[in-house]
Amino acid sequence: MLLPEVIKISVQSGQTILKYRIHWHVLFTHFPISFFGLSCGLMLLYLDGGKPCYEFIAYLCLAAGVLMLAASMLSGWFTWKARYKGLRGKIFIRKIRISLVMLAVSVVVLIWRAAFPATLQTVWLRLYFGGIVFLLAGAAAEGYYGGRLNHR
Amino acid sequence: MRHDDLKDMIEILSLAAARQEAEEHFFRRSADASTSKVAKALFTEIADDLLAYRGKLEKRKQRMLDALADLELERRGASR
Repeated sequence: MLLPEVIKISVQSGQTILKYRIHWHVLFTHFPISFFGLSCGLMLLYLDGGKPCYEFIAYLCLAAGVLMLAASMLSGWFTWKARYKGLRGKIFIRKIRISLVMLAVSVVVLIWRAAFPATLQTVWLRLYFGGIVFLLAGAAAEGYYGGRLNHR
Repeated sequence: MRHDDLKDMIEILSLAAARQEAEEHFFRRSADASTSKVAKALFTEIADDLLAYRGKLEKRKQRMLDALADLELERRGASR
């Protein structure tokens, strides 16, 4: 039944155009989890006796992650308002709360590292590392809830 | 059905309706952009099917919202 229809379509004149859209939020959300994951891995290497450059690259990754986190939050807000009409469901409330906490923690951790790079002693360094691990966990939670919007 | 379960179901239905709406819009956009008459007709037909299905979901959601309102009324009555 389907085959004649397909053939019929193929011999028709005119163009078939599929109008896809760019889903900015889906695009942006991949970056924070990648950057925070990389930052976390590099910090682990540094804490395991690695070179100081690992810590510096981890810091740069953290900064990039924070930047992309802000972009993800902004695009997420617009997607929530436009596509889901600001539906105040459990998933959205959790996602918004997690992202706000992540933003606060990331800014504190970033400023801390930028302001006191030389004073990162063992305890503070571990706290800083804990902050990065928290951000990675937060990004993973955001991904989990984001996935539940489209997959069961 | 428990109060929270009902709320969860309403949320799931709302998300499903939003997904259907996005799909419907995609087919309408594609129908508008296509110059092939067959493609236009096919995409419009699919978009109409999706719209009809979304209508069913919305009706079901409304029934659940009514049930939730009844349940909440019952709860308030019991707590007095």
